[in-house]
This record gives sequence, structure tokens and C-alpha cells, in this order.
Amino acid sequence: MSIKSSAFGGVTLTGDDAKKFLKQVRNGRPNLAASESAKRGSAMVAAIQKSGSLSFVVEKSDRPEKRR
Amino acid sequence: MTALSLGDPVYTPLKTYLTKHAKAHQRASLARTYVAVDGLARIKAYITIICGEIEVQVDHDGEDVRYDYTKYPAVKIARLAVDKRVRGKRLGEALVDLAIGVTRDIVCPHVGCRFIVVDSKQQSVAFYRKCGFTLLETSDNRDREEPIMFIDLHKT
Repeated sequence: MSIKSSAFGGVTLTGDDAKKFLKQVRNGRPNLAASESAKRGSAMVAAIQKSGSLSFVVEKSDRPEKRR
Repeated sequence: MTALSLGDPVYTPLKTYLTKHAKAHQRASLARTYVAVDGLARIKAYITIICGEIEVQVDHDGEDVRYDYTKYPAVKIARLAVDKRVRGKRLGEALVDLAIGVTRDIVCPHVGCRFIVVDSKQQSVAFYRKCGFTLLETSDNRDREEPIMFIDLHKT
């Protein structure tokens, strides 16, 4: 089993990692957080397609934010 | 552009990519980078996405279950960075939302794409979960420096 992936490359899964991935995909339920992200993203795409850019006011919050 | 301040030296490659490679990749259509700028046009965050795929190599070992597909088209989040001075203001989340929106609304309907995937830093797993990503639940993956996480766009 192995996982091969790099930031600018594809992902290759073998053995148990491949089987688990397929199982999670096959049995996974719709993810509410993903749906909400996609909904917000769709609105942003629509705005960018209309005007070429998008403006928004950043939220005032102390919530820590992570990066890739 | 060089005003982007990421703090910890571990994130230096993210700044290096933006300053030295992002434009070339954009021109060569190797990647697309979306930037968030402030009122003075200073970059405060960016996200880079690329076309990719998830390849699954399964040894059936006499199992009854067969898998029809071995390669799944995917978009990968290759880079995401937020200036340390504006962290905690949901800028990163907004860029991830945008990447998901671009993938689902533009790429999927016209090209075909099933997943959006990221090699998340360990400290970012919770962030990506909040954005709707699923961790590949194997011990190998959990132990990786950058675990694989994905969204199945069929289920959004």
C-alpha cells in the first residue's frame, strides 16, 4: 500500500489506501460543509464572471486560519 | 506582491512560488492562481489550482468487487497562503470556496471532473474539514506529513 502525491502532481493510491478511498467514495454521504462551500463558491464565480473581480469585506474574527 | 508576509519560515516556499513561479505557470497554462488584494492592490492571500487526477491501483486478490475506473479526473489545490496580518478573517476559506466553485461550476460541466483534492499540512486538516474536505481514513495517510483530503463533487 502506498500514497504518492506532490503539490503539482497527481495522486496515486495503491493497496489498502486505494480500497479505502473507493469505499469512502462509494459509501460517503453528501457532505453538508462541502455543499455550503460550493454554494458560496458558486456565488463568487458568478460575480467574477459578471465583472471580472469580486469584492468582499473580511470578517472581524480571531479564529485561527491554516494554510496548505 | 512581495509584501505578502507569511511569518514562519516553513511557509517560505509559498511566498517563493508566488513571487517566482506563479506568473510563469499562469502564462504556460500549467496552473491558475487567484489572488485576494486589499484596497491598495497588495496581495493578502492566494490560491493556486491545477488539473490532476486520482489514480487507484487495486489488486483484486480474487475479490468479487470490481472497480470500473482506475483514474479519476480531479482539480488539486496546489498552494494556499494567507498573509499573517489578516489570518482569522476567513480569507483562506473564501479562496477555498472559490476554488470549489470554479471546479464544480466551470470545470465539471465542460470537461468532466469528479474530485477536488489537496495535500493538506497536518495543521490544516481541521481547516479543510471545515471547508467540507474528507480525510482518506487510512493510517498511512493520517501519518503523512501532508495527508490527502478530497471532496467528491458528485455529493455537493
